[in-house]
Amino acid sequence: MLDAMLDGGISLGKITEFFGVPGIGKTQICMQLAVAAHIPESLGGQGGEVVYMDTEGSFMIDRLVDMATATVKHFQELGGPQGSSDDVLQLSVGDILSGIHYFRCHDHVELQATIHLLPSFLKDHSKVKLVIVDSIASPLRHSPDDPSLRSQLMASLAQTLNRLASQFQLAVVLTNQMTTRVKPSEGTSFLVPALGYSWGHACSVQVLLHWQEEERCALLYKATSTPSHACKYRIKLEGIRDTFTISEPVLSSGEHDANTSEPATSSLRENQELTTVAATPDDLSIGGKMSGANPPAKRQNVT
Amino acid sequence: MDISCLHFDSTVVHALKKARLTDQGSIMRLSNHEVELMTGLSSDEVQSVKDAIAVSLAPSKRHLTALDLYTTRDKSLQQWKLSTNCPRIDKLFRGGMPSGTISEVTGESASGKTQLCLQLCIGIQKNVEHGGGAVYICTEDAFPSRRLQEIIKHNSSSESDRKFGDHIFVEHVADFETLDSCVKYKLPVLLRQRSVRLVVIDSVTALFRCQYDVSQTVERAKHLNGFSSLLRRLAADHNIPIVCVNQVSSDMSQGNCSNAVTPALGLAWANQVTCRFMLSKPVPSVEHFLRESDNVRVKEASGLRTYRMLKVVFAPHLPQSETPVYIDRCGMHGILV
Repeated sequence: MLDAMLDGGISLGKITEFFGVPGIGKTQICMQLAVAAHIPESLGGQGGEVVYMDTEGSFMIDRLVDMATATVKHFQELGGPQGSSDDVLQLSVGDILSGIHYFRCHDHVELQATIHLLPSFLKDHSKVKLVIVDSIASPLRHSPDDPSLRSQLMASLAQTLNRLASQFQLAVVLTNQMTTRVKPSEGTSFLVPALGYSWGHACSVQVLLHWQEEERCALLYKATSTPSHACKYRIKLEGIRDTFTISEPVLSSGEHDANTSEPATSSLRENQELTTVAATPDDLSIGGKMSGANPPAKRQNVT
Repeated sequence: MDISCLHFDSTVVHALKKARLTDQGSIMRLSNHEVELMTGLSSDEVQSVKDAIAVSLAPSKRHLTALDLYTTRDKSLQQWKLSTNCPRIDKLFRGGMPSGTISEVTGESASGKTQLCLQLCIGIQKNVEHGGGAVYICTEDAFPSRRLQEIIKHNSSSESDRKFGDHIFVEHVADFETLDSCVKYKLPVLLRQRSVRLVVIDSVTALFRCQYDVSQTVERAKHLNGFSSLLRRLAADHNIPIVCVNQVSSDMSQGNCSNAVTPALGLAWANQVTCRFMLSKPVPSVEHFLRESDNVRVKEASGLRTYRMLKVVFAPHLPQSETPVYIDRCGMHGILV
C-alpha cells in the first residue's frame, strides 16, 4: 500500500521526507528501506547499498536483523520451489548488513561534515542507492540558536542533498519531527512538521504518518507525480506491512486483488519499495500498475 | 572551532582571515561560491579547504557497516541492553533498556516508576559485561534508600551482592542551575572515572513543570531541547542507557472527564526520547490476561496482590505491548511470559 501510495516506491534522484509524531514508525520505515534497497534487480529491487545517518541513536541493530532475516526468508520461500535464480540465494542477512553504511552524527556540525564528505564516499562505494538521515530535525532544532544561521545551514544541507540525489541518482530519505504550533488568535494548537515552512520546499515528496484511532496511517502530503491520498499500515516483526482494510478506493483493481490474496503477496510488494518511478514514461501513466513494476510474474507465483 | 588548528597554506589562511572566516562551522555553512566571492580564492582551493574542515569535524570513528555493528566485539560500539532484574519484563523489553539512548518511564503517581528505576540500578550492577555503578538524580523526593536496601536484601545471594548500594551515587537537585551543572560537569567526570554505567533522572518533569508557566512554552521547549541533547550526547559517547522518569497529565483532547492520561512535557520532550514505557495504576483484576490452561499463572494472580500494567508505548526495537506487573519486597516482577 505504501508503495502504491508513493507511486511505486521511493524515487531515485529525489528527496523523500517522512514526518510524524514519536513512535509512529519513522525509524521503522527507514530500516525497512535500508533492507529493501538490497533486493536484487531481478526481483524488482535496486540491489544497492545504503548510507544510514543516525542523529538520534534510534538505530537498533537487533531490529534491523529481524527485518533482514524476514526479507531473506521471504525471498527464499518465494524463489525456492521453482528453481530460484542465483540472486535469491546470494542475498543473505550478512550481505544486507554489510551493505548498510552507518554513520552516527551527534549534532549539526557532524551531520554537515558527514554530508559534505559523502560525494567522495559515494565515489568509492558506487553501489549506494539510498541515503537515509534519521532524523534531519533533531540536530537542526537544538542549534544553532541564531535563526538566520540555522536557515542558512538548512538551506545548504538541502542544497547538498538535492545535488547528491541527482548527481548520483540515489534516493534520499529524511525523517522529520512534529512540533506544536499555537495560533494565539484562536487559542488553538495543531501539529506541523518541524523546521518551518522553508524546509518543506527542500523535499519533493513528503509523507505524513499519523495515528487514526488505533491504526497507523500514512498520508501523501506533497508529491509531484501522484495525487494525494492515504493508506493504512502496521508494523510487524518482519517490518512495515499493509493492513488489509483498504482506506482509499482510488486504487486500481490490481491493488485490491493483491490485498485480498495471501499476506505474502503484500509483503512482497512492500519489499519493492525502492523501485524507480520516473524511469519509464509508462510507469507514470497509471497509478495502479506502479508497485508491480516488474513483480507481476512473482505475484502469481505466490498466489 | 578556529581554522588555525588545520594546516592550510599561508596564503589561504591569510585570505580567509581577511574575509573574517576564521570559524570552521561558518565556512561549512557557506556555499563554495560564497566563500570564493568573499575570499577571492580559486574554487579548487575553497574545495580543499572545505574538505579538510569536513574531515576534521566529522565524527572521528571510521564508518561502520551494520554488519560491523552486529558482530563487533568492541564494547564501546556494541549495543547492549540494561536488564530490569526481572526475566519476564526483560523478555517484554527484548533484553531491557537499550544503551546509547534516552528511555523514559512514565505513569501516574504511585504507579511504580521509582520502583522500576531502583531495580534498574540493581540490574546494571549484575550485568557482568557492561555493568558498573549508577547515578540517581532525584528532583522530586528524597532518595528512597530504605526501599533500596530492602530490594537489595531480598535480591542478594552472596556477600558481595550486599554492596550494591555502594555503587549508586545519589544526587539531590532542586533547581535548574544545579541540574544543569550536574549534567554538564559532574556526570561526565563520574562517567569517566567511577565506571558509572547508568544514569537515572527521577524525574525530569518536576522542574520543567514548576519553573515555567503556561505562557513560556517556547522557552521551555528550548530548554528541554538543550537539556535532552546534552543527555543524548552523554548516552551516546559513553554508550550507556539514560533513564528518565516523567509524570503524566490528563488528556484533555478527548473533551471528556475520563481518566485518560498522557505523558507530560508534550511533543518537545517526546521527540527526544527513544523508548517510552508507561506504568499505570493498580488494576483490579488481571484475570483476563491469563489463560485458563496456565495453572501457575492463575495461582499467581489469585493472590492478594495488586497489579499494575507496564506498557511499551514506543521503542524502535519493540512492538507495542503490555504486561501486568506486581511489586513485592524484592521489587517489580512481570507475570506474563
